[in-house]
Amino acid sequence: MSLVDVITRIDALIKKYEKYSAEKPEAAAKSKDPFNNAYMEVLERINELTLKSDENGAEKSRAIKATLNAELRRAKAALLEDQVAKLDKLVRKGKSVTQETVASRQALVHEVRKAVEGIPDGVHSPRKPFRAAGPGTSLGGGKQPVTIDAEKRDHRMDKNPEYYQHSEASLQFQKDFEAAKARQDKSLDTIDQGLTTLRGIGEAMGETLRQQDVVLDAIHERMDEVTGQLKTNNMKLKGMVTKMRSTRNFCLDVVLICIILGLVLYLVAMFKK
Amino acid sequence: MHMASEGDELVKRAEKLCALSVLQLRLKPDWPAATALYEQAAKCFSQAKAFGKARLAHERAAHGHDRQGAAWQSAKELAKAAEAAQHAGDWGDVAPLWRAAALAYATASRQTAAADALAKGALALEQHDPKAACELHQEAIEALEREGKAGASGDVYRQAIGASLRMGRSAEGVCMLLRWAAAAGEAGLHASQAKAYLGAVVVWLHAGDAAQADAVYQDAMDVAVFARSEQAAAGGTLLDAYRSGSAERVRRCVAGALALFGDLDNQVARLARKLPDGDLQAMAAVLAGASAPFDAGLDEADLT
Repeated sequence: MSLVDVITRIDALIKKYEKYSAEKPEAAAKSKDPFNNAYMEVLERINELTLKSDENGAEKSRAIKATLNAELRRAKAALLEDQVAKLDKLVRKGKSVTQETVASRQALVHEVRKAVEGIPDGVHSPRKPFRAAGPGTSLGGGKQPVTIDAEKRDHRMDKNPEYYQHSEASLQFQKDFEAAKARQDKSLDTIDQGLTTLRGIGEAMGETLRQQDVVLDAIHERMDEVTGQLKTNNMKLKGMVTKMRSTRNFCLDVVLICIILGLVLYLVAMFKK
Repeated sequence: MHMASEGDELVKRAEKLCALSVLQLRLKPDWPAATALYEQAAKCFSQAKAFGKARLAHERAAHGHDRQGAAWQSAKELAKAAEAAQHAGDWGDVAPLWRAAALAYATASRQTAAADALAKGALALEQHDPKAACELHQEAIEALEREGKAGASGDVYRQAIGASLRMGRSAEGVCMLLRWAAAAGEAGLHASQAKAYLGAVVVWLHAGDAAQADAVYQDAMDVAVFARSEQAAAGGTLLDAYRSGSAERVRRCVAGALALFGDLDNQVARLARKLPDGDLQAMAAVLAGASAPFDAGLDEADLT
């Protein structure tokens, strides 16, 4: 039984015995104030969505994460559209609503809206759509055009005439940068040497294999020849052995031996007399 | 001693079998039996460390096989005889024996085995008779080239090259490197070919003959495989370094491409590490007159 089957059966069983379930969803304390009820509901929903967004954050697979985030965004949008809108309408409803209550309720609604929008749903910065290189696209990605204006002065130098001079910090930074670059170059050289060596080894291996391949082909051919010769020899031997052991020769031998024995016995008998 | 006397017995019996005798109705020498006895005797002598007698026994056994028409067996026995002669220290006879073994292999239409036999002989004689060793190497390579399967036997070439370079014979070493390059090219072994050409350039530079090095390099650049290879670039940079006449630059060039230079044949790599060697200024002068630099930089007037 697979996991899916187990889950389906469990669901069926729960449905069947739902009425006996002790966990009845507690009816929220229905106060007389529809605004408060709706407000409580919205707060609960916000909590649920926040929990969900935390779970999404823990998801490792990017694809699944994207799907879950999309669902979350849909839920947020739905919440904003339906329930927060409802809340808005209910601001003025209810008994004994004063201006202050209206103002405070509106503030609450505003906070709720901000809270819903604040639920993290994986959207970071507006990502630019990937455009295939075409005649209209620029390599810089559509940045601001760079202009050099020889006549217009650079105002950064007005406040601080030393703006473009080297300071100690900048000199140090440059030294550090060059040292780091030198180290990197050295490492890259080592890698280069290593790779060249590996390539040499790989090529040598390939060539050896090619040589051996030729030799193996020659061996293969010779083996075929030898096998053929062996088969011929075996058949010849078989024929020869069959001829030697043929029944006719065997009977002939037996008969001749009997005749010789008979002769010998006859001679012995003769001598005995 | 016990084995040696046993061996003597066997040899005597074998000789009797070879002699014609009317009494035993032997009108022809009994080669199969005699050969077997000679082989046994040779084994006994080898175990008794009587290598001179072992060698003679092997030779007789080879003769017996030859009479029976088994050229390959004869060749094997001759090879064993040559090894016995090596152990016995008869260095004058080693080369003829190996040559005879190679001839027998060739008769049995096994040219590669013949080349191997000659190479083994050359290896053995390297210490005692360098001239003969060189000749044997040459013959081995010729045998391989005759058969046309030279590309498959890099070992023989490598041995020959190593031996010549160890003995300091640069011209012969280069000659063999170029022959190996040609053989490798035919067999489709491009990396080996490129390495062999670079090796030739390095050997000439080490020997101090820059003109020859340059000539070899130019000839090699005609070969498409080499012209495209990294080895050609390294060779060009090395020649440029020599052209500048600066030892430091040459050392830097070799150290920079150590992976390439170190990948060459062992002996050649050893020479490469010793560069620069010799009169740099003279070589620089020769090179300056010989041909254009490899990397002349970008020509600003050239708009291509």
